[in-house]
Amino acid sequence: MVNLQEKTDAVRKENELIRLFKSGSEEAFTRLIVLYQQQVFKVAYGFFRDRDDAMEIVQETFLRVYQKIDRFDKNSSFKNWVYRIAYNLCIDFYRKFKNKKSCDREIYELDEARNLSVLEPEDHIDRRDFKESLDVSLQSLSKRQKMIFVLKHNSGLKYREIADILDVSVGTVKSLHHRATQALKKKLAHYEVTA
Amino acid sequence: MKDCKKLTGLLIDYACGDISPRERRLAEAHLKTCPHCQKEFRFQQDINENMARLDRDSERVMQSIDWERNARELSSTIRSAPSRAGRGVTFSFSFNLSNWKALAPLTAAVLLLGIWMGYLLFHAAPGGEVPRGSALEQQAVLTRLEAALAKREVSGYVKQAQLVLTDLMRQCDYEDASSYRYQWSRGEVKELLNRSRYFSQDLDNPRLLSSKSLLKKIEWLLYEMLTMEEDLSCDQLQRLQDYVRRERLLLKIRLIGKEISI
Repeated sequence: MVNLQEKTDAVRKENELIRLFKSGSEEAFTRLIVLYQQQVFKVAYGFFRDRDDAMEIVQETFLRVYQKIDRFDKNSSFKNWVYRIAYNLCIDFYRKFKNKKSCDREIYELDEARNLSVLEPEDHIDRRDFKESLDVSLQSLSKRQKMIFVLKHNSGLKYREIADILDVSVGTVKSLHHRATQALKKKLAHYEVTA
Repeated sequence: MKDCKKLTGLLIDYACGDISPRERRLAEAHLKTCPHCQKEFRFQQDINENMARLDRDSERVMQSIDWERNARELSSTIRSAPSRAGRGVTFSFSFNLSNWKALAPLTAAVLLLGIWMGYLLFHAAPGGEVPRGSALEQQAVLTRLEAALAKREVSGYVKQAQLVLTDLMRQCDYEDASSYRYQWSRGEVKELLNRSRYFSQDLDNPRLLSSKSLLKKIEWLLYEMLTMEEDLSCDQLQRLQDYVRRERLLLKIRLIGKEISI
């Protein structure tokens, strides 16, 4: 009951901040950034695994919020709207810099392979533990699958919320999440023995 | 074991904790009796735990940032730069007169090179004439290019349609039919239909003829969905599912997908 009361208060406070921000309050805009910047950072960091890229997405997201606040529908969720902006920016950023990123990753994987080649096969698992392999395998997912995986596991969102952010059905989100999981399982199959 | 494949998705949702009480009961009952799925489930939990470990890494990075200060700086930067409206903070590049001055010699060189190459292409061909058949060759290249682009569009469309249809076919399977409602996204279906406009004129291209009838059937189904509400009962679903089964749409999608190599 207390939890519900807290949630209601938070929503009321957020609505008030949005109203003040729309009417030109600078402080309200700063408070909204404080409320959501870390959540945006978390999504972007989960997507790019790079602090600077994630900070750029945070900046760009709030610039868009500032520019487009008049288009925000007060009946919908502000949090999901901010997430949607961040999602679109991540995808755009990924498209623009895909070549550079994939080149960086290839160099990284080449270095990794070079380091591993001096070891016996059974040492590989010790050297690159499950977490690191999972991190590398995540990069092989399609950008949509990866984003859904990040929103689900890093941001802890429900399927319904992700569907709202991406403007697709819950079934599509589930389907993409299941596919992503199956793809990861395939990539990490050699760990299953120890699992 | 027969149910295992059907329940894979359910077990993934169960491991994530994003599952309805009824589905939870179903998953728990199955897990009690199926060693294969127990193993799969443990592996799934391992993936989730390691995702949480990765998440802790991001939290460590976040702790190194002064968020209050960042918010104040960000807010003042954005507010003090209204002229930036509509442009990226970091990706933009502003051109002013000095930039153009610096670029002028380069632009001139590129222009001259272009004129010279154009001259070579149209006037300095062997014999001083445009080679015979070159216009036809250009036309053939253009046609191939158009077909390749259309193929790419079709490939993306078919992939997305496959997701929507697979999702549709999975619904109302193990649920109580009387109370079940399937929620689908009108936005997603509209997006698909909009997408089909990009290649509808190219469907008579010989390379895409085999996809034409399939794409028309998918289009029919999507329009049919648009006439319905956004939450469907099992009866309404059944009608759409029967159509997908009767026309073997998912099988055809896979075949066409292979043909146009998606």
